Amino acid sequence: MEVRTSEEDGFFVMELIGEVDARYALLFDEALMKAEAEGRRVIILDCTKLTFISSTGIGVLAAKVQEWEGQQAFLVLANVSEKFQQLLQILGIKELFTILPSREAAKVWLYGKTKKI
Amino acid sequence: MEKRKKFSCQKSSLRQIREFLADFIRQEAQPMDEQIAHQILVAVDEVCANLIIHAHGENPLAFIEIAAGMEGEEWVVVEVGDRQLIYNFMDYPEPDVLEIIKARRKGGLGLILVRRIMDRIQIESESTSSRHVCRMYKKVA
Repeated sequence: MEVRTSEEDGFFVMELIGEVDARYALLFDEALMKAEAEGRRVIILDCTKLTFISSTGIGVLAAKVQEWEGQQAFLVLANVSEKFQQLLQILGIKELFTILPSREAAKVWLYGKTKKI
Repeated sequence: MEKRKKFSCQKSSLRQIREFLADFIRQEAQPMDEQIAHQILVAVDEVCANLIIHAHGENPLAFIEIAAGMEGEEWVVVEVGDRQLIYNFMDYPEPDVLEIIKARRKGGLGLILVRRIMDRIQIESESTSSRHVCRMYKKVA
């Protein structure tokens, strides 16, 4: 599993590549903590190349989203597969997340939210 | 059971377990809806992760055994066998998902996924062989 980060059009993008199972969920958690420690409060999580995620990875993600709720901080998901969305549906937590079809759509959505802050 | 394999209790085995199951589904259980196939992989991965991490403490010298087969044409059956007693999560009410997320409780979401994905789950102990199994059924047709 690889976590790639970049700045694009003023937005911080974190790309998950590969499988976030129990073995690699800690890596993902550490990447999120590092981003937060660097002062990131707006993150686009690009899931285009995410091929598998288990409950540990979902738990890490959901905990961060929940923590940032109502804090003028945004963690949005871009290009999430149907398989991943189904898991969120099964857990009954899909509505916790802002899921956009692409990075560009995520940027547009975030621009609308953040310029109001 | 048609395919059976042992895996050592290391987190690195989880990927191999998923590949083993994916191979079984490709070879023996087609046609199958891709979503259902993926959910089977997720559910079995969750049970195995729990055993590897919590029951065996990632002991590379310990092993669990996975067996996958079809029951008729409609049911995929996956059995996870262990020498250790398997925590019977079916004996307890399902916990609250949001509470688990808030508390960052390990393992909680996984077992919820298993319960909701699989159609039938049996957790049994074979007294004669000191073997314990978690057998999961998923209707695929």
